[in-house]
Amino acid sequence: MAHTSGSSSYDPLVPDASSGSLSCADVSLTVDSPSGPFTVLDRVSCEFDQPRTAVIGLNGSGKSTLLRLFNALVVPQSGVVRVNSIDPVAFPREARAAVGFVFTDPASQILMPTPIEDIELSLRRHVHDRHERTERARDWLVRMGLEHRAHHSVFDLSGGERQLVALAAVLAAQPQVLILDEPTTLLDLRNQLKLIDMLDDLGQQQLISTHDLDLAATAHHVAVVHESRIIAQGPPAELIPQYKSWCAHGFPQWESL
Amino acid sequence: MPRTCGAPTQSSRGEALAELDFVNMSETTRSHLTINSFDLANIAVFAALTSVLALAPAIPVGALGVPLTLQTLAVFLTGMILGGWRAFLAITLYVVVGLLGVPIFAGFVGGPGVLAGPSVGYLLAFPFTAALVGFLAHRSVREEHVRRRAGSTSATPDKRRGLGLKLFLAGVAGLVLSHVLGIIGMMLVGGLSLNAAVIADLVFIPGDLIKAVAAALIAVAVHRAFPRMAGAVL
Amino acid sequence: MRRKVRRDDLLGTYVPGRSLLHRCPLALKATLLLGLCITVMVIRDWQFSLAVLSLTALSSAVCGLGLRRWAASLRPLLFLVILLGGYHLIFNGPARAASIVLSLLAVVSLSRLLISTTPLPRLIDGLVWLCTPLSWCGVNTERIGLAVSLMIRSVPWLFGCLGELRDAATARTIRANPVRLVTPATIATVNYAHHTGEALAARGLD
Repeated sequence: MAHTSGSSSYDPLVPDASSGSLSCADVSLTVDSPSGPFTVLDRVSCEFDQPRTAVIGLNGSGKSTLLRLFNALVVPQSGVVRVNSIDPVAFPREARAAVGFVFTDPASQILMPTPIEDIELSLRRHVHDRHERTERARDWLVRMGLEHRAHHSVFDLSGGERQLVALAAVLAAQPQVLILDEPTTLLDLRNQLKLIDMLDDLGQQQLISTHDLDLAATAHHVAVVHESRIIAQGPPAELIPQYKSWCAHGFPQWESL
Repeated sequence: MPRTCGAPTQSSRGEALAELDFVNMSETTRSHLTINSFDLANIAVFAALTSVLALAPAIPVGALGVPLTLQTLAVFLTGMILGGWRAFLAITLYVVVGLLGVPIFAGFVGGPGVLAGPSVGYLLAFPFTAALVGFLAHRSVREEHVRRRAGSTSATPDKRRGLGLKLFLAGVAGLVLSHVLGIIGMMLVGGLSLNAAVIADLVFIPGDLIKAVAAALIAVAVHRAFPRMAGAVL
Repeated sequence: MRRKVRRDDLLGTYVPGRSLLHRCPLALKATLLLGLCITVMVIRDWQFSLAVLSLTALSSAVCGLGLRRWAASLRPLLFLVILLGGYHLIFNGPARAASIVLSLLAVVSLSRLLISTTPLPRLIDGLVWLCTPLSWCGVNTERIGLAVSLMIRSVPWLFGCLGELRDAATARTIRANPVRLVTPATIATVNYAHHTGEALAARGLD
């Protein structure tokens, strides 16, 4: 596996041995806190190239930070991250264009006062004609079943509707990869199912962190994050029962893995 | 309707710090001409908060139930939390949008007509008030962080009260600035004589002092919850 | 007495319609109305201001906004008008009082006409255009438009947040102490701003 380098011969756009679609090698991230240094990620390595990968783990385990590596929202102190061979640290703009990121909170990720304006905002980079932007934004809303809400204030939408708008705005920017950080945690069951239905129809590779083990069961690959490390990876049929058992009876010590 | 606000949804303190680490660089090392996405968000959201607090019904305070409007509280608060230049931009945004016509000034007023009213001095002073308060406040917060790190392992209540007092004094500095400019405004635009303007102004001082106290208390809590707001190098 | 704040009063200042004023291009409309504002302020003559004020009432009725809305937009100024008018009446006589009060009402009314007949996104575009001189100094004016939109979009959320906290405090029979009310609201606001910043960065808008 390639390791971090500061040498001038390093070319971040050349695929290296560890390039899957989303990969990281030996990534560590420590932050200073008032009570001393705090390790958020500890020598984490991964290679996610399946159509859908689920990341599960307790709150505070580091899953959210792991996801944020891939669009340069966090920068590791050591290690190498790759998104389709792009280095997010060196090329954050390209990485963010390639990665569509959906956050947990439905309200704060919609940036404009109405759904249609929010999707139009995403379209600004690719579509220069104002009327065409409006048309395409409307198409996205139709696809999400929200055309009747196009001009409503975002505040008047339910959490589920907001998440669908957020997803549409992300998809409108034509990302290559979708990363979702606990997208269903704040939604009621009906809206959870609706969002997952929508995700099932999409073609991009997906990386989803979630507490919803039913959603994790639909993934092709599961990674368990615990106390800043990935302690297990594999098919959901094996890992989900294992994870449930750990939650009930205690997680193993790192050294024993 | 789902709950819109409440406890932060951060998974853990560590993750919260990690996310902030990348983007909230120390203010001393950053170029002041760059506004990153987090600055933009803070500026816009605090401009919105100022609007909301300016329009909130007056809160009865104290035994007599004197109604206090919250517009100046918002200005002090924005300064103390965001710091000098970000607070300046936030309150400028608030004033500009209000002047465009959106009725977000105290009393549901808006539009360029406000420039014809007697409160124009206070209004135009707000961005500078916030900047002054913010500049002084963040300096105090940074000193506090450095002292805490170097000194005690546990933050004693006495030290916290010290920060609260310093923030209050920053608020008073801003108060003085806004009232001086407010008096000038009343004289120039409202046509009041100096004596009349000063007397009219004095009426608002006790209320504004209370708001400076409140803003300081709130800002201490906020800086404790978000240690990186002031860009301190911990 | 607590006045309930209606969200659409704040953001829905635009009244849809097809009148002449509605269809007038923003540049022309703004120049006209603001030009009148400046004239009123410079001349400060009570007769002229009264004429302009009457004109705004007439326009309001003709453009489908209605006289009631026209009056409602001026009502918040009532207290101020009484204070200011009273002061000038006592010290400077009725003519001066009338000119100060009427010019204030006329200017507010004119600007209200402008924003009632222009949808918000168009207004924001206008503001961005006005800031073009700033772009010559290296300021990205697109971001100014984005900042205004972000601000507008945040207002309902913040109203909701404050309202919820007030309800929660009432439910626990805590008197609405400003500090106790505003502290959790402010912490939630900072958190909300942080998430907003993340979303901006993730969408490549920095």
